[in-house]
Amino acid sequence: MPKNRQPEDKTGRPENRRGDLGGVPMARSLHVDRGQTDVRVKIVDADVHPAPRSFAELRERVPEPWRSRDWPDQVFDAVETPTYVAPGKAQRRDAYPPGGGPPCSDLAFAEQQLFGDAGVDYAVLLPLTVRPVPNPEHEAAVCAATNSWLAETWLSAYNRHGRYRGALRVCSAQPDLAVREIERWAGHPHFVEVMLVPYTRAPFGQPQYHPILAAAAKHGLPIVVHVNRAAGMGLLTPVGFASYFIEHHALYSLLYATHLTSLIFEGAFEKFPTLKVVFAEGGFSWIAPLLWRLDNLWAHLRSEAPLVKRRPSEYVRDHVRFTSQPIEEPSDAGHLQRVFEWVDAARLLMFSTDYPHWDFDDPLRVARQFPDGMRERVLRDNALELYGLPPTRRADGSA
Amino acid sequence: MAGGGARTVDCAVHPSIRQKDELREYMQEPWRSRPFPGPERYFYPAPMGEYAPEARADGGLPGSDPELAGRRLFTEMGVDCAVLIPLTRGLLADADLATAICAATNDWMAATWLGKANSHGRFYGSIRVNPGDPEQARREIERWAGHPAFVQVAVPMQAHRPYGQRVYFPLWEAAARHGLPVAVHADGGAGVDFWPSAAGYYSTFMEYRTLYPTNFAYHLASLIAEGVFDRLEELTFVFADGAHHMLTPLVWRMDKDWRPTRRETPWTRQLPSTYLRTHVRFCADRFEMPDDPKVLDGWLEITGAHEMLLFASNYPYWDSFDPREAFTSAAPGVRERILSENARALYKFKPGATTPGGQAGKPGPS
Amino acid sequence: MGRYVVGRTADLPPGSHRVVRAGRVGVGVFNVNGKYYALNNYCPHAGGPLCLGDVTGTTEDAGAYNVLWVRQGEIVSCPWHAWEFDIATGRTITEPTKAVRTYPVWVEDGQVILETDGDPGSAARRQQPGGG
Repeated sequence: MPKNRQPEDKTGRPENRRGDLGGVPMARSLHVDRGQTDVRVKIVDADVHPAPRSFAELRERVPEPWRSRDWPDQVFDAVETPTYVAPGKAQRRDAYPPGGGPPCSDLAFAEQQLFGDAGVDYAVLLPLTVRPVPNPEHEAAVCAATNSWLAETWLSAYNRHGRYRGALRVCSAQPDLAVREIERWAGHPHFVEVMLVPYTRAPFGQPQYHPILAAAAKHGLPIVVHVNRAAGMGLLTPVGFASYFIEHHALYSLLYATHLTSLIFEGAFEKFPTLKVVFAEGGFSWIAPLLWRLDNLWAHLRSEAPLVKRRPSEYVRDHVRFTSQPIEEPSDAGHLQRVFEWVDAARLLMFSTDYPHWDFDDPLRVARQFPDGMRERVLRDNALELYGLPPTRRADGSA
Repeated sequence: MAGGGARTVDCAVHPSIRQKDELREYMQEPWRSRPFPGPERYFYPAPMGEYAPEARADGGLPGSDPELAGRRLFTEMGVDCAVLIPLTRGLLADADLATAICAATNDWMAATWLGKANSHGRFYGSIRVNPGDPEQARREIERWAGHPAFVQVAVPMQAHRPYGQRVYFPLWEAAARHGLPVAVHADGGAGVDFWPSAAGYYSTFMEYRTLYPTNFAYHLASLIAEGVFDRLEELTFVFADGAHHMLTPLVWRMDKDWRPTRRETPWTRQLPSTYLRTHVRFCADRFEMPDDPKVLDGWLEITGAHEMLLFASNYPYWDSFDPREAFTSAAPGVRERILSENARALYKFKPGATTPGGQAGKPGPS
Repeated sequence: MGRYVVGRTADLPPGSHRVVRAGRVGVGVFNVNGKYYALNNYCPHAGGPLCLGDVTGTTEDAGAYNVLWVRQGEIVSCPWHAWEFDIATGRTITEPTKAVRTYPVWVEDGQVILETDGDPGSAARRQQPGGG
């Protein structure tokens, strides 16, 4: 049995409670301690990757029998990826803390770079400490350890300022284990979403995943789809294995498009009206042409899926969000402005840095690319609404 | 109706054999009596029927009557000429069987649609080859390359390795040397295919029709990353299943990664998106258009699609695109390019090109 | 005019580099095979600290998947997105070329001298970050 670690709010601040939702989650009126000076939030970073200082920190929280078993480092290394390795082993070379440890493992150094240099107010933390492995119990055990680790460190002991939120790791290959983990943490004030790794044998709209979707929706937790690269068949494309990183990385988007199309056409958004889904790090320019295809084909073929009552683009508008990093770089930057309009970025996009990864997007540079009116929605408001975050925060030493 | 109709080139018409064993007439033993799958797709059959009603031929499979097809294409829709892409039988486990089916398909085409049924000279064809045996595929290209009515090579979308990988190079080299574009199209039949998506098997035909054409992106990324276009300047790929609109943003992602990862693929000498204009063409898909014509215009402009798109009816399938309704709100010059000029710049059409002698069962010139 | 003594030549032997606190973002001074070069510590791509990157070589295509390792010590790779710059010219080795600002640097009486005209940091902020 996993150690029973109770989630606790150690900040002493009343927070939005996620609880039961009768409708679409909205930013709510909140109870903020007005004794301190408050700062208006400008930037919410929807995708940051903290790492434990050493794997031992994680391993001591893994339940038996897995804790005592021997594993190769490459299976659960939070930093190094076994296949399709990105430049700099996927890390920003200047993000290694001077005192040692992997990037984003040293709180002070990370906050200097993320809060100080980049100007981020809130960061949503997605720990990439669990790669899909064949044994779901094993994977679920490391998920449980990750969630305990995150809850005890970044979401409480490191979270006096209340600026961190977290994603729950769950194993999707055995949905009952995932549901159990979601139920374990439901109600925790700082876990704001449930992460699913998309390298699966079937896309997420299919019925075997519905208990996970149901549990997440019930507790008002969006699903966030984010890659966490393993080895093996999860990397297989319909035409075989790619040779190089550049091929694999570009085509996360098709993997996400598959899951999204499945969720829509299997009627997941009808069955779970409060379900929200975020697609992280898969880009967003492709959404516009995908929605044209989905809407056109649904209009012609809708009798095949009678559960699907609305146009697919309407479901996306109401239920789906995308993080901005890595922001596309077409050679004519003006093209991107037009794409923002066509993909309805003002509604669908949430800014992210992907700190501490190599293809980090700097908020200042990204902000300049959005027109007035859209900029604040992307940099802040869409994430405030989705995650129910307060629009102001307490000023502290790192403001 | 906007101009360009009289010179419309239809870049994807899918002729069928009359009845399912007809192909055997063009095969030798042991293949002639070897069982192999029928032409219908095993995976994700279309629930409302695969074919357009007007393509059903009396007494034959849909799309099997060249005269019926000719009336529909040339008389009713005003197409000037059509590039035929017959489907084969999917990715078969036995590579030699797959090769034999391709050869028989080419012989059948040369005898019928490009032979005795082509007195008007308006049908052109694709040399079907099996990339699963690149050396045999290369030989099949050499066999037909001189035949005036074959204007391209055709391979299935389905594969066990992406098409940029080195094992295929002799095949693309032969196509490029003969000035033949290579068309990629989702194949028929039943095969030992991998999953249709990177997340396994989806459930519905709607998902298949939405997503399957986008799998060309995996081949495209591979062709670019393995430097195939850098090595073969004359090579052009035609993606005959559409999805141009989805693929351009994906190539922008490659653009962003190109400088950071150049070291890993130093043979890719240019920004990935430059290869699109110079080496890739796409048949237009009627279901990929936005409702708003201004958005479509903008999208065509920023993606450079007016140079890359080729009109294709996709006759005889249910989702046939009528050229009279295609791109009617596009600027007149753009419409003409997509309906006609891009294809004429790409293919070496020789008017009146039929099989010499026009006789059934005779292999083409070697 | 900003004139900086970077250090003694013995402190900056071939293959070494250091970032001088000149301006707001600094200037990297490199010794490549005995010659000194100075680059602004601001990558024209997205503003990363270019001169904190690795000094390295790169690969060259010698045909048919033959890869040569070349130009060891002549290339600096940006620590953010790994863009490769030729240290001697400050230009990307890929095209379309993007360039980082370079500065005069020379040896005088055994010391390495860097000259910046004005504040390199303000020059950096005026630079438009490039894309593509």
